[in-house]
Amino acid sequence: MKSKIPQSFFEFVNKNKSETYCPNFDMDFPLKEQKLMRETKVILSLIYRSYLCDEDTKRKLEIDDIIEIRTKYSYENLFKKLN
Amino acid sequence: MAIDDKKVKEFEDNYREKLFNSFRTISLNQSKVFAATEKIRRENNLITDLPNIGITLNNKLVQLQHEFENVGISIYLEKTENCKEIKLNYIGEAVLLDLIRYARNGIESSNEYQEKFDLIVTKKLKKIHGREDDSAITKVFTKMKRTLVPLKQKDLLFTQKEIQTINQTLSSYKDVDNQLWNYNLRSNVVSSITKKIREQKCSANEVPKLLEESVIPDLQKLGLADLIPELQRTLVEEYKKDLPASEIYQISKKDMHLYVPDFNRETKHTEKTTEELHKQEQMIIEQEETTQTMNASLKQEGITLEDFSVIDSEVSALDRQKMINMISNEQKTEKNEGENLVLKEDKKLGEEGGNISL
Repeated sequence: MKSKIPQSFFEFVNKNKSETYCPNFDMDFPLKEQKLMRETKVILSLIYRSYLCDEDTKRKLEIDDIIEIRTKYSYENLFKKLN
Repeated sequence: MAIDDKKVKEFEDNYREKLFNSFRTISLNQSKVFAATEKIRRENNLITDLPNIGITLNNKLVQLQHEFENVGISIYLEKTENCKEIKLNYIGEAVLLDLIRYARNGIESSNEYQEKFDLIVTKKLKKIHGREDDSAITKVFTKMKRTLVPLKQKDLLFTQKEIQTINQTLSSYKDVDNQLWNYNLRSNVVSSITKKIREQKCSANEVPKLLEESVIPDLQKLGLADLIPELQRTLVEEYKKDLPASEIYQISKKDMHLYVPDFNRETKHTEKTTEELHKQEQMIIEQEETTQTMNASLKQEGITLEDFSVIDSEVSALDRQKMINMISNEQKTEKNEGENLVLKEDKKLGEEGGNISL
């Protein structure tokens, strides 16, 4: 798995990580059942999309994101919420 | 290492036993429900000839099991040569889930019948014995009143409206039981397989391979190969329902196979040369092997690709975009600082007589 993730990413994380933060993972339980911080989930999501999933999945997830942003944050929906 | 045939048979026997035990429980419960109310149903001309949906479910599965066995396959397990894992038969599982769906609807109708029946009978009993929360004196007066003024027969019988209400629930129960008994592969297997594929949220680009590996061979053995085009058409129509509105995003032809299964995708590529096809096959095999190796290595760390996929589905597009913007800003800042550092050093070197580089 590590070979799929470029060294530059690890360097970036090491440079920007907090020295005082203590992660609280219990590896006896599946990752999806653990209470993860929002930011942790976002980072894992980006790792998955950038390095781990196949090309077809990656492309579909990109399109899904565009659709989600256009649907949720379209002008019509924003004005609907105000009304 | 291939799994022992004996272990496969043991697993299948265990699985079958648990299934039929649960059907037995259903049929016992249904018998109790209807036996308890049979006398009152007879007295009130309610529907009395009621089937037992647990027994229907049991018998239907046995019938279908024989159909599969007659063509040399198991309705429960997928048997492959040198199998490394035990897998449930895809069509068998789809059929079983559909049968259980019918049974569940039947049980819901039967529960609805029981609730309405109890409500009506409780109302009538209150007339005889008074309400439970009545005071002791009120209850005594009610009893006295009943002794002096006995209830008329009509007060205990169901009214026309009550009979209609009860018979309606019993009719839907009988209908569902009928539908379950009339389930047959030729008429229902396409719908069962479609429901299963949709329920497991199979992505559109994986559907053609899934059908090819797990469905078509067994359909052919069962003499239902003529249903394959109908199955493909039904799946295409189902997946088309999920396409976004064109004003939001127009999916290009190139990307359409990611949203709607494209069963003709392989044939489009036949224009390529044999060498190109071989190369493409090699790439697909290598990609699959890489995915398997990665999955294995992730599993050792207690994580699977599926975990990543689940977590990914919980994150909103906006959050991802914000994080990407944040990371690229960080990288830009680092790059600028790096360049400034280079400029400063070169300036220093320049002052000392070195070359300035920009």
